[in-house]
Amino acid sequence: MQRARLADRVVSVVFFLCALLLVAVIISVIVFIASKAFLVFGQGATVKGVLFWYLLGPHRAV
Amino acid sequence: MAPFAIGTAVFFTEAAPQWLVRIMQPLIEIFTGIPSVVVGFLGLLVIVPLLQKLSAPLTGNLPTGGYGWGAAILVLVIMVLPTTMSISIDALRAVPGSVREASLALGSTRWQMMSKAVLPAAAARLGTAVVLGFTRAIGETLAVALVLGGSQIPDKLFTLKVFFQPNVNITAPIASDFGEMSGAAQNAYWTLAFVLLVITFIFVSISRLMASRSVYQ
Repeated sequence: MQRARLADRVVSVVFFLCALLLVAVIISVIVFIASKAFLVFGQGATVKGVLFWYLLGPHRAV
Repeated sequence: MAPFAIGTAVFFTEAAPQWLVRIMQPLIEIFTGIPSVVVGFLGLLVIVPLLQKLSAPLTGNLPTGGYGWGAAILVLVIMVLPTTMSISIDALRAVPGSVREASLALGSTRWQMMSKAVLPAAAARLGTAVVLGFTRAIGETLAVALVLGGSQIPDKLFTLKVFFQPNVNITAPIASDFGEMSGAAQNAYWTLAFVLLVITFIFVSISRLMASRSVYQ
């Protein structure tokens, strides 16, 4: 009985750590992409420029 | 696309004979799992030449006439339809039998039962199916890039001709050029990646909102 309770506790701790890791990974990916995404606007680019001209547009600079 | 997927799902759950469901359901599920590059290749070999012929009066029989949004739309319909259909079938099956029985007991015809009882009961989940299909279409890279066939947006975006001109999707340049860039150019690609993330987030939020409004939790 005691062993089953211990297993129960260990499993819940392991699953909690898995969930924590997953949340941490998801949040880090979003924060990482967001932090890089806005850098270009500090380098003189505009939203319209990035979306329609800078990379994809007919006279693209890159 | 959505009405066709939901209509087919209604047929499979409410009206189709069992033998047909037994044959068709695995086929739909197999179709859902077809890799996008295969669908893109199919689009390149079948849809693009077909559209090139059909759009000849508009494009002046250009060899690139079949590429563009027109082909991309058709390829995405082929890709997304089985996904939406499959989730819609599950959504309709999740409606309790008692809803159908109550509707029929009140004197509804079969069509009234489907349209006034079953579909409203499954509306939230059907909405989720459509949004999930849409999300898959937004994130698609290779199949769409193959049939768009270009590397830049055409000069004039607001004409009918744009559907039959080589074009570009957001994900294709990220996949092909990102590694070669540095500095501001690379940051611009991060911005595009963030735009995709935001679009997906919006659609997943809509899907969650719809699911939370479901009558049958």
